[in-house]
Amino acid sequence: MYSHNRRTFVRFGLGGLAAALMRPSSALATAPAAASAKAKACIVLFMHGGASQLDTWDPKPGRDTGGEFRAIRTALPGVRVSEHLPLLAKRMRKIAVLRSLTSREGNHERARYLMHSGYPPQGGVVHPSLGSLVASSRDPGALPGYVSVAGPGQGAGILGAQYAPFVVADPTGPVKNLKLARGVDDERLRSRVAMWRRLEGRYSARVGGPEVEGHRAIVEQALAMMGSPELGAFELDSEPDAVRRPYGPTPFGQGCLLARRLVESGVPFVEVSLKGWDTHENNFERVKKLSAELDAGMSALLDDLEGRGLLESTLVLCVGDFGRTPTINARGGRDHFPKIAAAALAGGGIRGGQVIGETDADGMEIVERPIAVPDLFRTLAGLVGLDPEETRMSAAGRPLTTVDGGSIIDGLT
Amino acid sequence: MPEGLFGGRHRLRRGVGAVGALAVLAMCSNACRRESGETTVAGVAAEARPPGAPPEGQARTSAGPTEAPEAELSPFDRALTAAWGAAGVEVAPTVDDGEFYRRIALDLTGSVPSAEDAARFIDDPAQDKRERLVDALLASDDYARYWAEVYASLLLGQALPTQKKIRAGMVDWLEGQIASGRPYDEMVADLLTATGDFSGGQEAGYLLVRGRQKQVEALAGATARIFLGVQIECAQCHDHPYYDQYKQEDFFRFAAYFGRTQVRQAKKDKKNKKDKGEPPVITVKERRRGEVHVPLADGSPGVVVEPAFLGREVEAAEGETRRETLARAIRGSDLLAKAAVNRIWSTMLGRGLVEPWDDLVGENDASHPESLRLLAESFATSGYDQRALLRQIALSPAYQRSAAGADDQGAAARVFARAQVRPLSAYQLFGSLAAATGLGESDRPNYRRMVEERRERALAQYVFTFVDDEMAEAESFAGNVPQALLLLNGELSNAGVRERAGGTVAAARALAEGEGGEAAAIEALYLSAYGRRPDAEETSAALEFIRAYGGGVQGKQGKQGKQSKQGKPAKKAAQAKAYEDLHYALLLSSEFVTNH
Repeated sequence: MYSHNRRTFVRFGLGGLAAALMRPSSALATAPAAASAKAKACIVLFMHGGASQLDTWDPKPGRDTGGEFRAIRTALPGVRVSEHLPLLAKRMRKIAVLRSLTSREGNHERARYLMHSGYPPQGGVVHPSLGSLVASSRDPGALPGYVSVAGPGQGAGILGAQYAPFVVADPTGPVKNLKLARGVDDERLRSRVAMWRRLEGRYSARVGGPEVEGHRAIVEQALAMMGSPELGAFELDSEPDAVRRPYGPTPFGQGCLLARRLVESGVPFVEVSLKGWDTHENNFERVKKLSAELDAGMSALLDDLEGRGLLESTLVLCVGDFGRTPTINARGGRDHFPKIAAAALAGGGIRGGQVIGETDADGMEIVERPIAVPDLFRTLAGLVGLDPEETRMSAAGRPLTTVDGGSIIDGLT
Repeated sequence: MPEGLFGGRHRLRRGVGAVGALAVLAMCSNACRRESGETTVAGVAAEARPPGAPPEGQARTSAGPTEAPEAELSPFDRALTAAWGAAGVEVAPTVDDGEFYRRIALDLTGSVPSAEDAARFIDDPAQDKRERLVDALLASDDYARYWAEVYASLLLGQALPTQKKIRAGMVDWLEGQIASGRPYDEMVADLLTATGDFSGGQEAGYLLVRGRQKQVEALAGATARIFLGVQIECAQCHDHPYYDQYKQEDFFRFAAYFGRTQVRQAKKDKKNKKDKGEPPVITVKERRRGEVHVPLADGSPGVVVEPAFLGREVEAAEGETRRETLARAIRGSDLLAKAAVNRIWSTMLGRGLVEPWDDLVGENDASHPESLRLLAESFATSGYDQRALLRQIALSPAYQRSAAGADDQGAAARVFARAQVRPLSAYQLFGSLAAATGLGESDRPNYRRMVEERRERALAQYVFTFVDDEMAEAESFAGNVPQALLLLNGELSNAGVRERAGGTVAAARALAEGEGGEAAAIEALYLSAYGRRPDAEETSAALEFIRAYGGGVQGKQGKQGKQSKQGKPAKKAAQAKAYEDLHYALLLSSEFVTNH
């Protein structure tokens, strides 16, 4: 399983260290999946907790279920969104909105699992997240293939720990533990690592299995990162203020900027979480604040990617755990509502300027084109260059396809 | 690979297994409504075996002298080992003594054993040494402390940073309960029925954290999942998507048990600065009134529902509060023991007898394997004695499998015929680093506290807290690149290996100067990291590594001649570096960072 990753031949030395490490070896051809993909990279903006679709992408002004917010016009005639998304409203020609995403998972953990992997949780097998699938389909670089900013993301399951998300808790802070410890120089590290590799080789032969190979791979990935020039992507301070400011001063906004910089540095999958959408009480005050963060961050991201010629090759998806109830509870909140959620897509292969799916006047039912999560994942898989029918063996010895059922969302791409 | 230790695996005969496998399939399709919902079915096949047939797969090696003879196997062990034959997998040999000690120490106390303890155990000729070891660990303070942490994470999830003191109070309470051997069912009742003022929070922390912001629904969902293994909260928004038997009304009727509960945390007196260090006080009251409604689709409150236990009426006894009725119903349910043994089994072996451990589908569901039923029965019969349960698991044939040879895509591990390799939890990893480097071995309380604080700080970087009502228990720590960076460059591992008085490297270097020479030093490092001695090949590889640094005992001729001209201090420094670097490599390795 673990053959010779080129990182096995790593040379250290802070000067030529990274260059020697990371120059793609000619023996490794670019993975075919990545070559044909419309979207070379993917950025997911994850609305952690489950965003209220009625107070963002699918407003119901004038109805009891519509709540306090007004709806505003967008660049798309006849299409309205919440008054608290004014910047995104102006960019609607780039964006495709899904208003009829539906699932059965009303528990955060289960829903997040589904929204990250396309599969509901099932005993006995851990499905890889989309980010891990994309990471595994691309040639490894100095930076991990899946970076999750301001949230935990989701693991690689059967693919192995080497494709698990690299979690950056604070996008504005430095990545921790990248510098050699006191009293350790390159030569010492080289010597330590040489001995460690011998130990790993032996243990792998004696015990082996995915956990052992996974540990070996993540340590090699960490070594490859140390001292690589691509680490500069994490230094947001090097961006001019004029670029930085539109993203907003929040962890989410700056996370969106980091996502753009990581994609530029060759990271194929970045997830940025915006937490706090679990608005069981005080929904409107909280959603207003969160909307401002989303509006600034996502708008700046789309503009910035477009300005750099990256939007066409970068798929941007905004989605969360699930939707929220049309009924407003006694605490001024909205509860979990997996039956209907909204999502927004732009960039890499997406036909922007459209709304797909429709809900009824109160947002209680889907009246047109229900979209199941596997439909979304089948569509995404095609865009990022994954074969939806590719089969992998689970640890349980059961074959798993990239996507389970579903059909491509007609007209979205 | 040393023959005798990890060689000689036994392939089991197939045969009777076929019937069992079919039975298993049939049960799956009946019971698991989830798409291909897979259940660990070890033990279901037991009944397919001809009566009196000896369980197969009692793979013996020289290293397994303490396993019980077949005749002494409990019905639970017989059910489980029978499934090995049915599954037609290779049964891993019995784990050898050193690895057994490391594994059980991690599982019972959250840390690897010291090198001295490991050596003493390996060299102990007694036949019953594994039993005695398990008993000794279960009697230790570290056991109560570690399991209090495990339970606190289960009960509170990843508590918010603002609830650190509540968590600490809960850990204190749990530690006392666990140390005194309080029966599990009584502990559960205490958690659910807590009423009055609780200084430091104590057991009332459960009601506060899980039911915060008056969320009766969240508290009900957590209670059903944690104590009964039923994920009834899925029925909160609609009839349950997977369990036919639970309707939305059943969820709210379960929630109604908490409908009259009022939990408050006393507000701090901000003017009084002394108040800062004061423990939090939680006050729990049971009101006379308070109803739970099933919300209607149009947003109106809907009908008031009376409490009911998973769709079943339970009559309240005279003067009983709603929570007391719930506690009584839970203690009367077989799911209490099933969920507990399945969770503890999963904690000890890496996966539950039913997976996931907290999804037992429904009361008296047919998908429960025989092994789960038997283990739950013996737990209940013991009076919900957790020590007895842990002891039974630790000494079971399934727990004592080796992890070697995990090249069958996990087929053997799935039926517990081979130990599963698992990453250490953050708690286990930091505790083990402290133990293996000697950082945690100080008797000075100040020093220990410093190590503890450093551990907590490091932990805090990697454990995410979620601001959700369900409070996920996940930690984003094990097995990822940030963890690898922490091990490579972090303070704990680098400071840990540095030579200093009382540390492991200093002790090893002292041995190198003595009779045993370098081999004794290498052995000490292996024992502290892996709890076992190196084999001949490992020793010679390590020797080669150390001698390459020069300045060693052998370093007076040939290649090392150059260094020998250096003064004694330079030699010493080179040797110190060599042992530090070897120690470092061992601590970075898979064998150290996993439980196996």
